[in-house]
Amino acid sequence: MNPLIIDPSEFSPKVVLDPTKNIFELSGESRPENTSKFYVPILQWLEQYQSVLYWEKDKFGQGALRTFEFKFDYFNSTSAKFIMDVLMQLDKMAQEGYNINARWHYDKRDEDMKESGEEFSKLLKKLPIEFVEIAAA
Amino acid sequence: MSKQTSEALELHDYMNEKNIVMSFMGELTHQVTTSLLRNLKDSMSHSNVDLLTQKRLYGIIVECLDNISKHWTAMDIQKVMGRSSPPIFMLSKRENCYYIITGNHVSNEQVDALVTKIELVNSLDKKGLQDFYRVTLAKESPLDRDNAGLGIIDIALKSGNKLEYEFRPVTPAVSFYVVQAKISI
Repeated sequence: MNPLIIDPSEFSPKVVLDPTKNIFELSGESRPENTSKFYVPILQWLEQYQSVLYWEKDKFGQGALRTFEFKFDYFNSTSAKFIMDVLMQLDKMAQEGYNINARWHYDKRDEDMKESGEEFSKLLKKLPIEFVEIAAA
Repeated sequence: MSKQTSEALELHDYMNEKNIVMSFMGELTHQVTTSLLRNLKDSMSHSNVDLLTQKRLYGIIVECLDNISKHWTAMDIQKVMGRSSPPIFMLSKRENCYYIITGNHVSNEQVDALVTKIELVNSLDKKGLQDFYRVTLAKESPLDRDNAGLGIIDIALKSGNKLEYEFRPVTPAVSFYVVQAKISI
C-alpha cells in the first residue's frame, strides 16, 4: 500500500503514514484552512490500511506492532474532532484484534496537551495510549 | 497639524492608554489570521510569559478568530446594513491579564443561540467544561463539518475566567456582538 506523506505548513501538521517503514506519525500544528479536506484523506487511508491488515493477518498471522505517534504542538477545536475520528478509526482496528497502539507526546510544560490526550483516551474502548513526556527544549 | 495626523495621533494615544498590544479590523481570512498569529508567536517568544500561558493565549485567539469567520457572513450583513462592516479583533494587556476581544455584526436570528451557549459555558466549572467538551467531542457529525461546537468550550477552558459579552442592537435585523476572554499571566 502506498504511503501517505503530507509536508507540514505553518498551519497544518506533518503526516507520515508509511507501512513499509513502519512509521505512522502526525506532528506539528493543526488549524488547516479546510479541516475536512485535510483530514478526510487520512481517514480514508486508514480505512484502506485496515483492509491491508485484514489480508496480512489472514495470510501471515498477526503482524508486528504498529505504533501511531501523535506529536502535536497545537490543534484547534475543529481539528480536535478530526483527531478524535483518527483515534476512533485506530480504536476500531484495535477492537478487531490488530496489533496497534498509540503514543501521545506532550511538552512537559504543556499540561493542556496532556489533558487533551487523556480526554481522547476516555472515549476509546481498546486502543492502548502511552503518554510520552518531552523534556523542555 | 492636518486632520489625518491628529486622528492618527488620537488613535495612537488611545491604543497606548488602553494597552492594546495588537488590533486588527478587516476581513479575517485564513491568510490574515496566520499573519496575526505569526506576529503573536514572535512577540510571545521574546516575552517572559510561561509556555503554558502562551499556548493558552494562542489557542484562545485562534478560536476567537475562527468564531468570527463563522458568524460573520459579510454578504448578508452588507445587504442588511447597506454598507460593509468588517469585524474587529483586539488584544490588550492590563494588570497581569491579557484580554482578547472580538467584535462583529451578527444577524439577530443568531443572538439567542449564542447567548444560550455562552451562558451555559459560563455556568460550568473546569470539571463541567471538561465533561461538556468530551460529550461534544463524542457526538457524531458529518465529515464535511467546519465547526465541531467545541470552540467556545475550549476558550472557556483555556481562559479559566468567565466570558463577557454584549449584543448591541444596530438595526432591527443586526446587532454588534462583542465577546471578551481574559487570561491571567
